[in-house]
Amino acid sequence: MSKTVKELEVTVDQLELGMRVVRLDRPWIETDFLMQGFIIQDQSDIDALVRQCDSVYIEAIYETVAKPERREAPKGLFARRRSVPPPVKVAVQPAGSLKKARVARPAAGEKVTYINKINTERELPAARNAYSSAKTVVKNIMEGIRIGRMLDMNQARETVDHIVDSILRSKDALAWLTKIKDKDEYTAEHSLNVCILSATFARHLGHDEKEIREIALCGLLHDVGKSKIPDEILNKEGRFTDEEFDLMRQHTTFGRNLLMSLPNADRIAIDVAHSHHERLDGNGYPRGLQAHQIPYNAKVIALTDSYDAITSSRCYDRARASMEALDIIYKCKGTQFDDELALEFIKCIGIYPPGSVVEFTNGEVGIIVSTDEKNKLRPRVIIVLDADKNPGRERIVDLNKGAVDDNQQQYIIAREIPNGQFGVDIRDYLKKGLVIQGQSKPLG
Amino acid sequence: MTTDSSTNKRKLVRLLCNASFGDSVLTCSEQSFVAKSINYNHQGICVFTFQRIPEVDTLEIGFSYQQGNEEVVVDKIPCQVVYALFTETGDQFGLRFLWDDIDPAVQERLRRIEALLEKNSDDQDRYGLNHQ
Repeated sequence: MSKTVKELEVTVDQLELGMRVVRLDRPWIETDFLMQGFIIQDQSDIDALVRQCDSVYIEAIYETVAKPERREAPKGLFARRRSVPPPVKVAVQPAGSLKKARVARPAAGEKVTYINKINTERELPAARNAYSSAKTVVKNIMEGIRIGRMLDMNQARETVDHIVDSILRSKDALAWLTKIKDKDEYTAEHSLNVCILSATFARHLGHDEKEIREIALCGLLHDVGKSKIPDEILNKEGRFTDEEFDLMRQHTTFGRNLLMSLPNADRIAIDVAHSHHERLDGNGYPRGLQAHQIPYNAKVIALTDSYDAITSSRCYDRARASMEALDIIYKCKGTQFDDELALEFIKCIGIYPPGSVVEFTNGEVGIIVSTDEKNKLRPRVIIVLDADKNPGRERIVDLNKGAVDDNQQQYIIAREIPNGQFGVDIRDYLKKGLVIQGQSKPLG
Repeated sequence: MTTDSSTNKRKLVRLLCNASFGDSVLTCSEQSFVAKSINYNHQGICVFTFQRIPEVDTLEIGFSYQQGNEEVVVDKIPCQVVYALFTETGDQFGLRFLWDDIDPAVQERLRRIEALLEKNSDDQDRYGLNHQ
């Protein structure tokens, strides 16, 4: 299969972001455009073309299948003349517009409903492997870009496939792993966590599998532009100076440029890398887009990105609890975040997500194993400390089934506490695969 | 700014600031900044702002709560910054009211706001999602 680039005439109502306009239906000099040929970057470009033209010529890729090369026909008595047919045209598509991007969450009638195929405990070993290898890939991507290596999109897609496969089997296992934070690996972990949270959120919203993979890829690559920021700024302990802050904000443009330089990057991943810090009220960066100009996937990633940033322990800050992050998202809906998506995200995550360490009103301490879709305030929990904060008999309690303590009092969660408090570290429970004392097999 | 070492010592519930709770105005270094009021109790408040405010240990805050005909307004409450979280999407600050430096009448207003907020909150449905 070979590709040739040709001009294709399209009417202005067919224009999409990412198309490369090479010619107009009138001389450039009769229009406002300063550049003779450009890529449509945002809605204002489309609006300007609609105002001034009826049709334009865009760059289109023609894919052709060439017949296999033939041996030269034998000459002589048995020679037969054969005519070689012309190449077969198989597809015509505008360059950079491989597929229409989704512009809104699935409507009620088109939602896909998923069920967990296996429980959290059984998925955890596979999730742990997927997380570990994905983290290595993300670190290699970031480090590779720093030394001038090209980002391998196929490797990124393969990584996303492993992550999404795990989330489709069980939504909570990888969520556990996002709760473990290593302050020295913030950028790689953050990219991976945003990928996981975005895939989990897309599953919650009812996207089909292909869309979930697309959104997860956007999450994985949203901060790829940070590989162009010097390490000493990225890992700085303390607040950024104004100059450093301005440079940090440029990671969106760096990311867009980096992905655009690749021959096979998804257009929507480019848009998300560029637009995930845009705000609904037009005060975002880098372009100050209006709400309708922000791509849907960028609105999704804005939520998962902010949630993970607030709940992560960066080298110079202390992480906040899930509830505080959700409080901020709730209060900033409509100005920073899409209203409906923000509320759906809060429903998806819940105040006590899997892997959270919680204290009950009776003083006992536990770790959230999994949550019930319909009642996120009543999850399944491993009790790990007694009321005096001493290691006690580990057991699973299901709050949704009205579990009671030794005094026949119903278990009620009082608050989330930081991982590591009272000597409870979720890493220990991940290492042993959620096997509780007295059992040799994972819970299930 | 100092970081919070007492996260787990706080026993008071942090009530989500609802639509009746106005934005906060922070004053420091002779400048004013508007911040979203996030959660609250009479001892302190969490705010979120997109503006870069100067690095300070203390500042003053003002906000109001309006419910029906009743409006409770407080202004220039001295606070200590107990934690600060800087992210690319905005900065979060945990502020503790410096209780001993606050006039008793104003202390009463702070308690009144907490009571009104508590009355209108549902600890089983913090974000009102069960009614959607």
